[in-house]
Amino acid sequence: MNLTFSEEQVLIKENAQKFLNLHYSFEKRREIIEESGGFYFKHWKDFAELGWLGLAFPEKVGGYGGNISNLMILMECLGSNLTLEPFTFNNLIIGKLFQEIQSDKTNNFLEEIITGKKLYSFLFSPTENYKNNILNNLKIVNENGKVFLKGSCNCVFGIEKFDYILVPVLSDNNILLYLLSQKRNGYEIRNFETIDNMKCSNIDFNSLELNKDEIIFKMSKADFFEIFDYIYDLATLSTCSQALGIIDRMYDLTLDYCKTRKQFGKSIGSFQVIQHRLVDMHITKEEMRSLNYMAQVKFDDKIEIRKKNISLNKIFLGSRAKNMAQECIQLHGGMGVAKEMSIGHYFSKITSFCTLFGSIDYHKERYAANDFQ
Amino acid sequence: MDLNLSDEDKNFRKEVKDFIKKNLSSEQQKKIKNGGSYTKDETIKWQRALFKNNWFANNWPKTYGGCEWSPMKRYIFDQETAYAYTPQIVPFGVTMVGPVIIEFGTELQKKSFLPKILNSEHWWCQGYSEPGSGSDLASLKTKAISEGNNYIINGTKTWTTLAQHADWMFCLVRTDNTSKPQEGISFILIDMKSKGITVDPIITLDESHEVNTVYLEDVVVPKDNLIYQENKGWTVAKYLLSHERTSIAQVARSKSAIKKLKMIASHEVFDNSPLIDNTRFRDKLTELEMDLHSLEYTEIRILSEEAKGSSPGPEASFLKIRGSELQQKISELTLEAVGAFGLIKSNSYNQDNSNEYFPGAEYANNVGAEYLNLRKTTIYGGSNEIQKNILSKMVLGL
Repeated sequence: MNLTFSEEQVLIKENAQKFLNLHYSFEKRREIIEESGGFYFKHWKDFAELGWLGLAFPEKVGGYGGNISNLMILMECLGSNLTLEPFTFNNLIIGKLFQEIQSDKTNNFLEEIITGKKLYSFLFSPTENYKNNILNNLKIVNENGKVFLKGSCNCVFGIEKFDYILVPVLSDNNILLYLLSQKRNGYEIRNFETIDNMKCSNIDFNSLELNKDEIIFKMSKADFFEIFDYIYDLATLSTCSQALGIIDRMYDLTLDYCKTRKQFGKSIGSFQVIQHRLVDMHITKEEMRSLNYMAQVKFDDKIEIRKKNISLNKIFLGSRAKNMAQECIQLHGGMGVAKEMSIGHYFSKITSFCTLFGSIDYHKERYAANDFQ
Repeated sequence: MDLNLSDEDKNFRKEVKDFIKKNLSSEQQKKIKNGGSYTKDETIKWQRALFKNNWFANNWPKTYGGCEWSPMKRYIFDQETAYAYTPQIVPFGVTMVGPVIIEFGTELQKKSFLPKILNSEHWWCQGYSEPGSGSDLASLKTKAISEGNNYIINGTKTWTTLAQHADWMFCLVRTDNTSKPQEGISFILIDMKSKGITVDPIITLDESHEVNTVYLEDVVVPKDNLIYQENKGWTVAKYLLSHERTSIAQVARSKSAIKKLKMIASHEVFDNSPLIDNTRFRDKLTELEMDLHSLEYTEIRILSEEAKGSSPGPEASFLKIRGSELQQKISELTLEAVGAFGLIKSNSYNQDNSNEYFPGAEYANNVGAEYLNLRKTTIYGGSNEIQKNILSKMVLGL
């Protein structure tokens, strides 16, 4: 039994922190937001060179191992510095899908993902309704011997920019996966900015004619969701790991603020009522880390065990961690709500992570449903 | 003990409803309901309509142009205007500095300021907090040095709400450094057009511009603008605080927000059924309603005491604590209810938004911004920590 980092993991963490502290300080991040016009891929190539884009994937497909804990260490670091690149969507989810499908072509796609040569997306809305959305939003329509894709999806993440998009469509109880080039006609994307500097998009297909050779895989509904549920859980855990990095950073910032902010002639951290609240925060962040490690080590256990553990992490994020983030703002007083301070940006991100990949109620239901199997 | 409205109160409720219908378009109401905000002009227009109807200064004595409403009438008015999403009266003039000038002002001050508060010619702001003095207000450092008939004022005020619109600021300044902190403070009125004043916006988490930093650099203020006596500003500030407490619990606004939340939850779907039918969600909603009702009836109890002639005491602090917490909790559950759409920036909440339009249901438009914005409620107006200090000292005797 061992819940400490290996030498390799310590190294991953140190290297990530070194790069991010240099290129993703709060100031640098602000510059990226101002300069980029809202499309955040500035360091994508750096991520590739650092090996981060291959961290989630095994060596046999050109990755750097695919060890869950290594990946989660990186996710935590990405959270700590509020990186803007849509890593979860444009690397993790789509890459894992290609890895799991394992057709002739997918290894090439994976290579392009890992090297950062091409940008791939998966059409998916990271909410608790993801299954219904995949099954119901898009339709294949036959017209005069031609095949068209029709329908629309909203609240899709990671499609503000791509070279290819993988689109799942239901057809006779099978899921067909179409890989469409960005250059295709017949679709329209509208991007909306979110409260945490991401892009949330609507995509409409009105007259996109499908070609047979764009189907890269076909499988039964059940098989697809067995694969995709696994990936959904991995993405959920990586969101929780980013949140862990954020909560840790919010705690540090708040503790520091309470030590330095003086009122009534002394630091506000010298008041017992504040001390107790900070101690509660300290306990909360450690509990969050413990739950996170538990989910990591049991990730490849039986399906229901994986699901339960992931849900516990998401419930903790949506309750204890959310409350703690609110406390951090409160202890900062007015400074907590000023956009110029970093603490509020962490708060907005936590707010967003509480919603993505399923609400607290959804995960409570899911936990209960998997508890007695 | 009963809750029946007198015929007079019933009639009054109808009058308020009619007044709203006459003075506010349904487009305006819809805009606010879906997350928009009133412009300065719209707010002034509303205040002037109230003034014309002699309903504006509802906490002033009749001799000064007030209408001396009973607490019950104020309660009815707050409720109806919240339900109808009317502009909120900007409190700094009529609710805050007005009663102070009536109580402490000279005849000349009354004559020159009160009429312009009544007709909304002057927009006021409050210069209290400073970068180093928030909860510990008495430690404020903005200095006023006596020079002939004037004070020369230097310092920085912050979190100054709507100072960008303000013509005048009532301000706490230090006029004596040698005595105890509370005893060297004076209450003074400053013309915002004076030389040496700079107003810098502070943008908040929801990207709105409500608050500002106000820099005062060698600002010359005539001594005629001093309220009450030099170094007696703390007495004036305490008097003002007792008037600020009216409707501090925001019960009416919270009622209206819960109504909206129920509407949203009946439209949103969870697990193929309306969200409002989901037991987990309903439980949370029920708890909010329990909080709302306990708050509402506490407020009515305090109002009833007030109607009998006693002025609200430090107990009112707990209206602020629970009222602000409730506002936050409602916005939190509303955000849960609208799901991912709540994360998309509103396109009407603030003016300089990058989103062309809002892709989700209209009711979700401001929900994320509102959640972020309302973090302020437990911080402003004396943080909830300070309110608890007041309660433990003044009520519990600790």
